[in-house]
Amino acid sequence: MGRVASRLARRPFQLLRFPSLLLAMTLAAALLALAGAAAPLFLSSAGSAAFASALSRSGGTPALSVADSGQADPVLLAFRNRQLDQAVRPVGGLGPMVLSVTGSAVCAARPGATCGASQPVVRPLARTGALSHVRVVARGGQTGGVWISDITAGQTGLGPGDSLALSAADRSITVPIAGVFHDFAGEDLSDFWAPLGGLIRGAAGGVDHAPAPLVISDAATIQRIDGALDSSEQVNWEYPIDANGKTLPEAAATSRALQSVVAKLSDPATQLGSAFTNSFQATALPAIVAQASAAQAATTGAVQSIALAGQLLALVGVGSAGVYAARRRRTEVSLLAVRGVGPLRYGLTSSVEAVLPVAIGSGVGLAAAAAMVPLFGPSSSVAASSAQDAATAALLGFVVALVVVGLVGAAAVTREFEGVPGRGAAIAARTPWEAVVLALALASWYEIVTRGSGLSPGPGGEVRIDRLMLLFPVLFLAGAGGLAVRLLQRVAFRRRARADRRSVPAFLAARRLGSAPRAAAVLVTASALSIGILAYAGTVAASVAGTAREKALVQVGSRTAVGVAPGTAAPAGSVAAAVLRVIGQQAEPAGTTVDLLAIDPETFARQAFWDPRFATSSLTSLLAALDRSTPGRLPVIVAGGGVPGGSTLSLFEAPVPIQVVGRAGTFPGTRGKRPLLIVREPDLRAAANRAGVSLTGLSVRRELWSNTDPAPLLTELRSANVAAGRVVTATQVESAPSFLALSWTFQFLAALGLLAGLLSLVSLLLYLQARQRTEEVAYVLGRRMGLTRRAHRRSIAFELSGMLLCALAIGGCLAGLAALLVYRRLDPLPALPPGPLLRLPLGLLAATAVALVTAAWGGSWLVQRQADRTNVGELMRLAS
Amino acid sequence: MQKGDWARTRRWQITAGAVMVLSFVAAACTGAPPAPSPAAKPALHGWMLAASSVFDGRVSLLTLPSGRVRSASLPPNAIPVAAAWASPGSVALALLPTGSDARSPDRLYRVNAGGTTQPVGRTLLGVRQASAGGGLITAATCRDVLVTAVADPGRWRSLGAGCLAAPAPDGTSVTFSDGSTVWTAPADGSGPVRRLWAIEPSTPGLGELGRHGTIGALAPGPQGLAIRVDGTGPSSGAFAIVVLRPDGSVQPITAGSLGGQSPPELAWQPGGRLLAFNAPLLDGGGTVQVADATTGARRIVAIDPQGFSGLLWSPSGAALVASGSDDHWLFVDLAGDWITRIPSGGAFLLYDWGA
Repeated sequence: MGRVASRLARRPFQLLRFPSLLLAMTLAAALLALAGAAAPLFLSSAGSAAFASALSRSGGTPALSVADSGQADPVLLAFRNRQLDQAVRPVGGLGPMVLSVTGSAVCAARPGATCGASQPVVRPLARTGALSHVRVVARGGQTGGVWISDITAGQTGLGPGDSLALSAADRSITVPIAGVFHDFAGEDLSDFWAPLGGLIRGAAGGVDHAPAPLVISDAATIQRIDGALDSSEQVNWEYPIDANGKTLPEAAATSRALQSVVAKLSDPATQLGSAFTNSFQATALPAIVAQASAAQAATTGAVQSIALAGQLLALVGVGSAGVYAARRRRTEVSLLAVRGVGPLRYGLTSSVEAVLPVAIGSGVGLAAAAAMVPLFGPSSSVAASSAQDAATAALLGFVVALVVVGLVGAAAVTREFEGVPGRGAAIAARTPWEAVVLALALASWYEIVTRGSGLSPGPGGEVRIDRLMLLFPVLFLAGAGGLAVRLLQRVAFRRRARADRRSVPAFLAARRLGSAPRAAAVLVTASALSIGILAYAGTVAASVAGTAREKALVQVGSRTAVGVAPGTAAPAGSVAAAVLRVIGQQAEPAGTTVDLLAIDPETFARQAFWDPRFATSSLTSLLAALDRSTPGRLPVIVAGGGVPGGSTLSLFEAPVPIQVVGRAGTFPGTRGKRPLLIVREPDLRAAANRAGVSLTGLSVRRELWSNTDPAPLLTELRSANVAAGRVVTATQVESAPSFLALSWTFQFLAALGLLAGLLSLVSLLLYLQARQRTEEVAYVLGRRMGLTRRAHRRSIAFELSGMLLCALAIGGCLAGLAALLVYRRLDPLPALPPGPLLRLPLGLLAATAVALVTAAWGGSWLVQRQADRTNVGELMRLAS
Repeated sequence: MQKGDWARTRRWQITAGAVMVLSFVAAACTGAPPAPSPAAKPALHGWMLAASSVFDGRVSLLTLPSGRVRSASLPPNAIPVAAAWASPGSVALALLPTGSDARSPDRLYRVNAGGTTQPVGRTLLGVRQASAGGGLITAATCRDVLVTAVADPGRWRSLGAGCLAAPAPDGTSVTFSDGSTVWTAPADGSGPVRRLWAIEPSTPGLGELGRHGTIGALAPGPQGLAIRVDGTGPSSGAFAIVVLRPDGSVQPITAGSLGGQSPPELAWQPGGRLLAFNAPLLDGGGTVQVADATTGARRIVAIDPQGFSGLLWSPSGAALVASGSDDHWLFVDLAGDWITRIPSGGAFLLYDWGA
């Protein structure tokens, strides 16, 4: 018994005698675990990133906000603060309460001065931590008092240490000024101030009227002011979400808990609700979580498919390692077969022998997934539950890998028993499997084409990718790649007679390739598939990113667009171009609904985004055409079509004849499929005057476009005392969930490509292992005939790099072809122009080429090192 | 396999085992912070005496902590003007009108928890206000301030003239007022009537009520005398609460507007220094607040969207009960946390909580 146990205990270490095999099997098992474990981790990471993105797009919206208005009573406020904090504290995942007490707008003046129309109006405000979120201009020595903005300081001539008289109706109060802060109403509001955006910027985002500058103090002082002036106040309680490293399940749990709090707030029969009767409460978190969940769900199916494909590829690697193990130990297998060891027993033995490398590989793969997904995935935050799923997947992969190795071992012994392969097996070996796979790929493509689109919109605005879009390239690359390699095998590998005899390394490399065409073909096919998947994923990911960027730029018009009051012009020498949008007009007689974009051609070309694909002529030429006018007709450029030349514009129902002076497929500022008519603003105003209509109302919007970040433009506007409204950037638009889900999917596919690339390394190791004995004998004999070490090493390097670069060429070309066939179907927002772009990841391909050559030279170094250590006597004995 | 190989094998086994165990343990590790344990709430014990303002001829007897409510029948159309436990949980005394007319005389009744009632002593004419506490029941008719002991009910003794009277919590004295001046007298009539305080324009915390105000409620307590002043004339609808300290100084507690609601009731914490009152909110609804008589600091402990009527301290002084909206008695602790909320069956008038 003890002997049997001892033998069983040593079995798992039998493969230590074959380091390359051990390494290959470990690597394949690691990749299997990595592919399986990465999916749940990646999905969790995508969920975290989707949540972070949705949260940032919400513009600082607090997780919970409660608003109430009424009397200034510090005792009531303290009670409510305590009740709310007590209810929200157990929720977790939220930042501390931010309390705002806002008074009514009141008159500010020097003490003793009469409050009249010339005096500035200010709005008292207390907000938790407010002074930490303003830029201090001047600070007094005393504590307490109020802080006034630099605008108010300039208007009243007051500063720190002075007193400020605040008055409303016939009441007034004098308060000391503690400091002066920089007014930020005209700037891009930080998340801290964003919830009070309407208050700070005035109604309609500051477009309609300038808001009252703030007077900041603590809540008690503001209540004292409001009490003295008998003015009502608004109290806002906000709980910002603590987004730092929050995962989607954590956010969902917080959301559910907050919904419970909101339900209590709405129910006066609860302790919390009784304290907040007549208040308004809302939580934005459920909507944000739903948006993020939808984006995550959009990637789930695709990522799971990709992971499954990766696991299958890795299992092929594990199986191949098992096959090579059996071949490498053919003598031992034959001996065991002769001794009556059946397939079942040998399969079991093979599994036991594989336990060590597969276990180490699974552990390493799991650890690699756990380390790499947070590092390279969409977000570094991964939920604990997904880590458990990942561990389960790795464990399952471990078991399946052992089963596969056992089956492969059993098959090897069966083959030894049978001796010559049967007729069926021979037919199967001759069958071009590549053709079958290629036929499946073509069927997938046909299905994609007939369905119309590879993408479908989800309920939350996210984009779901058709799994065939992922299956097609894998099948296409495997099938077409296999056929290409088969062709290459016939043409190149067997032409050893024509090899260049002038170069010893090249001659030797060609001879070796010619002597083992099947092994070389397997390596090239596997590598071509790996590289092809990587290149395809890279191409599609780059194309989707490029498309998203271009769509965002077209929609915004430039990198930044800031809404301002309709009458506002861009400041002189501005970094911006002013445009006037008039939306929802009619072009007769077709009755087409069109939008108008009134521009200043002098500044527009410098600031607007332009891609030569948009029109046959350049932007300058198009804009120059606007100067050509026929009397009585408004010259327009039509973008998007649908407006014939002799149309009449129904401008606020007044007929305005137009003259089409240019056409473009797409034009900056196009938002949707509605045609856009571009006109010179003076021409439009003149035409409007002639038609007797006024360019005012909700459908008329003034925007300032800038080909820079928002900061310079906002600073400029503030200097010009222009209230800035909504700020939109192309970067914000392109981070929409519709784009994100798609880019994550292809990011994961690219990771699969990298994984497959590592499998090429497994193939390379197996190839070298299989060829080792022959190589070593040839090397020993060659050395005796004057072959130098350098020439031998270079010949191996040529052999390997030749095969791998062939694989790169085949994989890269086929990937480009596959991407070309499907990229038009990968438009995440088909309603927005322009259409999808095709971008080749040249950097990725170059890096892959460098990596392959490096791997080839590394492999040659390993082979040379092994060959130099060979025991010649033993080798010759075994060879004989 | 050689010995050296086997030693290497052992190292491999340990390494492999460690890698696997570490990987799986790291992946399986999750941790959630334990939920904070809720703070302990004060226990509710004793018996509460309450009644409805509807003429249903019953008083409600609430047993705590079970929350069981029993009813004891009263003479028809009787709503107690004042009531107190003579023997908590079994016998109560209630000053009841003897007819449905507002001018009909009142009479003290012994109410047994079993349901029987028995008149005690003589009838009283023209009772404007009555109060119970410290083992005494007082009745003010504006001509007389009458007092009787719960232990020996029915023997009414006149202490002076006043429209408003309240017994001290220790039962030694009775404080009474004619609306502008406050007097005090020993409950057993053993000493002279002494003037305590009068409304003056300069009284801190009264503001305009110093000129246009009348005393609306008195609550003698260990920390002083709590006085509610109600606005009259141009200050009608306003109220203020002050505490007359034993040293004669006045501590303002709060002031505000009734907003159409009932004026606040005052109740001293048994053996403590907190004064509880139910004050209306300007925007509707009402609060129960407690104030520290020495500092004047006050805080809200409960809010009701329709306001509170009736207010009692628990015998331990750790909890308060008030009648809130939807016919519920709300029990809260001094931190403002709800202890329980029990359906009152409409019995929102609260008289006594005995242990």
